[in-house]
Amino acid sequence: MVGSNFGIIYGLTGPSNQGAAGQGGAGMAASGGAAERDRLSTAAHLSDFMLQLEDYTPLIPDAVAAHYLNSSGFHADDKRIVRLISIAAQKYMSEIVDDALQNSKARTHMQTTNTPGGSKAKDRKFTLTMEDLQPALADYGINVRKMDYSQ
Amino acid sequence: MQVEHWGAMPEDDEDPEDQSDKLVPIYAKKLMLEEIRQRGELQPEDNEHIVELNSSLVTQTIEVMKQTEVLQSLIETYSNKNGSSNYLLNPCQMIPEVDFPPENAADLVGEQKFQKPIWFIPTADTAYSRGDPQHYPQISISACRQALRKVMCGMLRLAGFTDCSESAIQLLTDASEEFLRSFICEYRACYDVDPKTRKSTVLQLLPLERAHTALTGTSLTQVHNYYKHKVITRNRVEIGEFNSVLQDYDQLMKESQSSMQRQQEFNSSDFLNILDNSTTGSNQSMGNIVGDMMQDLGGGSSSGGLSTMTIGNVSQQQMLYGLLDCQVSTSSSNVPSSSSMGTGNASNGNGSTGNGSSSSAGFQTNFDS
Repeated sequence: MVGSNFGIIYGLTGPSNQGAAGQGGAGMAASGGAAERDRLSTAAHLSDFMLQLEDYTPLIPDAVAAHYLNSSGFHADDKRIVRLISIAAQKYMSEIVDDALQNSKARTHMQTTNTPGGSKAKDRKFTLTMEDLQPALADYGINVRKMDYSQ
Repeated sequence: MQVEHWGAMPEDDEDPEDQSDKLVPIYAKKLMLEEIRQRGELQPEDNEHIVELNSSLVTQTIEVMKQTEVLQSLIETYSNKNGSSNYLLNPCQMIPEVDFPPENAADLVGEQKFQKPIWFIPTADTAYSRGDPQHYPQISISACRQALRKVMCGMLRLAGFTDCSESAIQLLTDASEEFLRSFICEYRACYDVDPKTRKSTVLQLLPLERAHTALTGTSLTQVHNYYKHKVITRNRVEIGEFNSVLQDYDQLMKESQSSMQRQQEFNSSDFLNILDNSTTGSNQSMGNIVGDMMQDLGGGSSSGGLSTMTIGNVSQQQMLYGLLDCQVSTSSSNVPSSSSMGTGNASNGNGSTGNGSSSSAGFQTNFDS
């Protein structure tokens, strides 16, 4: 499997290939509906994308993603898949952090407008607090609750 | 009569052949030891691995952001408070020269690669694109958590945060770990649906796409958009901002250097020019220079003050002219009278001129006598 196209067939992406697949009358073209075609088209783009991932350096080390893959019973030796998982996790966390930054900006702006004479230098500094992070995480399905005794 | 006890262990037959199996002769031990020595000494397995966060693009962005902040704070310190880049706050203090490494503005990722659609980029035949097997070091769960914690710090800095609370970092680390776990569990579940792939350990792309869609509701191709718009564009924007701030700083530094140069020229060469003019006898230009000096020292801004200063300048000029005449050989009687008249006027505007005229008059009398 290593070095192959991950089992993704390009035959259904173009009209000429669709005809060829229809003549052959075999494989996935036989059962292919519109949804299946779209799915495979996306998969073809994804397969192309996989080959270009060499220039994408994820912030999460590949060894970390490989650790979680190994713990689920996979043999993590394909750098392309490991890197894709790393970048996907980075994207997910980046969206949460961006939302938290928006919350922090809104909160700082409210405080500056209420307090007269807020300086510009302080406006450039943003501190991440639980107050900003909790609503951002809640939007992504992660609910943070304090323990009873600390409420 | 032999008594048989219940539960007694049967006695072993001590045959000489069996004993030869149990006993290891010394010469055999020696042979085995020599064999082990020939293999080399057994080394303990190296379990220490260094996990590096080697995203050069993110590192460069964060460094450039830091240096932009340093430059902005320097500009705010040394420029005036009106907001313009005139160097007025403290002209005697030189602006420090700041050297930045050239790799700050280095183009780490080819621009063309991310401008074109993915499927228009020809694939280079590399070990990566071929998917050659890659061995990753096995790291512990605590090492994973530590690496994720560092990653979160980097991502927070990249997003624009300057500080964060400890609990927020901890929470983000937990969230990223949980995402990785659930993503890979979903990936495994996609394998488990099909009995053929249930026992497979080979990584495939299509189940990964299904797992990502199930977990986040988006395709994995969105990762490309994220990288292009959030990571690369952010890098370009930060480098552009850094360059513009650096230009402002250079301009400020040029202003400061020119003002320092002007000050030095005034201190050294202008006084020398006075002496030169005195020897050549160019009284008019010398008078102008002295007049400028007096204007600088007096600092009068009102029209009345200015007029008195002008008269004072004329008197000073005449006074110096008289001095020079005395140095040459003779003096006319008009000079002290005019100078005394000038001092009378000048004393209204500036008292120091009066002292100067009296001393010159004294000098002249001594010379005459």
